[in-house]
Amino acid sequence: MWLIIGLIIGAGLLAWVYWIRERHVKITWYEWLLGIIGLMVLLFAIENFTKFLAEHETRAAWRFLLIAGLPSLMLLSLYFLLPWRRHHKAG
Amino acid sequence: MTKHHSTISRRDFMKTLGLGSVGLGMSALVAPAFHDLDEMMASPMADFKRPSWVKETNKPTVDIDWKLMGQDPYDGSDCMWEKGYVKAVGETVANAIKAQGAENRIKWIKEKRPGFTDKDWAFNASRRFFQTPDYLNPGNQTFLGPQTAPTLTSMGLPRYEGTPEENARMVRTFLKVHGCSEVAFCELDTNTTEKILYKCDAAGIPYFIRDQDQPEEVIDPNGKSYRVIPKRARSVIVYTMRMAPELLRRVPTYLSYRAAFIIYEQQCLTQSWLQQFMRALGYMCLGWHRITSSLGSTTGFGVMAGLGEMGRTQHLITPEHGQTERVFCAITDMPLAPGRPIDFGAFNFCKTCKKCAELCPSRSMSTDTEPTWEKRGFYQRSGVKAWWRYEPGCRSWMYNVDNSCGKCISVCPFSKLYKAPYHDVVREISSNTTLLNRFLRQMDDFLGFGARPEEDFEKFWDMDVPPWGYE
Repeated sequence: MWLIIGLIIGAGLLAWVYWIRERHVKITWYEWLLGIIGLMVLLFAIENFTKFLAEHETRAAWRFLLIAGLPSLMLLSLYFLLPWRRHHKAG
Repeated sequence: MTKHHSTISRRDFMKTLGLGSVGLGMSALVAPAFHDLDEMMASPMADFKRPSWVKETNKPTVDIDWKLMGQDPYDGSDCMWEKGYVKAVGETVANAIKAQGAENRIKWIKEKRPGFTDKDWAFNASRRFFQTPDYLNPGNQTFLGPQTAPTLTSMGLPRYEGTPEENARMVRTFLKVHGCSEVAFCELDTNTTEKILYKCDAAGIPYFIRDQDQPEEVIDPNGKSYRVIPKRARSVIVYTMRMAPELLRRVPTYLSYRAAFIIYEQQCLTQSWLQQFMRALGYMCLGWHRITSSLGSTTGFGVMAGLGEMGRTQHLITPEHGQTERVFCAITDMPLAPGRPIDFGAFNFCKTCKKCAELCPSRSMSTDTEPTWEKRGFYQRSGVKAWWRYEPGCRSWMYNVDNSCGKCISVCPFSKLYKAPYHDVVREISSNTTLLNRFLRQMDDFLGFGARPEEDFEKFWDMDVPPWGYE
């Protein structure tokens, strides 16, 4: 599972970096920080989700996915949205 | 002086030569194999490495007054599983509660109550196979062991000699390969740890410590029985055996009852093997003469050996498996490197958590924040500052539901399978600070950890259960 996730993240990161270089999108250091933290929390949420299921703790799995997954998605959204909006405003 | 051979395997040698890729490829095809006990002792199996958040200390986290403990030594027969229950509640009440339990048994089996079906009852009824370590002579309750293994000295060879550290690794390896989870050692000191021993076993037969060469066991039907532990036997081997977590969580039912007794009966085998091993090497090994009858407080020995901390339940909480393990002990004259008490935040966590006390079905557990020296009755030992449980209430509940409950140990936040990294974060935090303990307890509740709901009890029979019930 983690091999596939790693490949997806690697490919996605490559495509993203190519895209922002093509469009000359500037990402600030704190936006990068949001993205890294968001990604780490998302991976932590996924790992715990699968491992809680392995422990037969179904309720813990879904609830933890909610409380860790949602904030991580919010952080990742900010990471993508903030530079995108800035880029569009600049025209 | 001890002689051992090199334990560098051919695989490691090849790797060192830089033939890494070839070595890796070849090694993937070769299953790890031990050729002798030396290799096992050199392997990680003999290690007792703890994570960094487990700290060794000089003093246990539980307060102990050794002088007080020595002045009022504990009588093993006063516990609730022996004559202590009738002594506490009286014969009339005891008989009435036991009769109610027997009635409940028939009623619940007929009703097919989850956890109490005919299948579940039979599952638990499979116990009472091994009741004593001497399984060849059922009823022969000896703490000496089977005494049938050949010895080195009988072949004209010297007995085995090793350094205390080597001996500790060897005994740990032996016990782990025979089904034990963690193994540690404690030194018997006249002024301290020796007082953890009981003055009598569960049947009321006294233990004496005397300056004599060999142990002694006299079983006299006229009541003059006794056992002697030689003063020169200064090492206590303390070991744990895991219980099946999915059984423990289905509490209080016949399924959770079986979880404990699988281990008690397994311990008869394991102790016998240990005693035979030690005898063959040339050492004595004094163990339990029957199941549920210890030489002393296993929680006490476990704390002093560094296996875990005492919790609110007065059971041992280990960093590895919480309270989902049973603890056993044996005394030997083999020099064994002792452990030191540890602190990983469990005792302090118990102060704020109180989950076991709040969920105790019989309301027998203390909900006080701080422990106390004031024990609740004769059935508890003096000299320990603990959260004393009202034992007769606990045992009455057990009789009423016709099993051994165990809700307290199953709901403990430390009793986890520890697969998810979330648990590592919790343990890292709770071992370093108490500030988030209340929040961590709330998270434990929010995530739904603890005993299984009644509607899940019978799902056990459809689970893909690993061998012995745990991975």
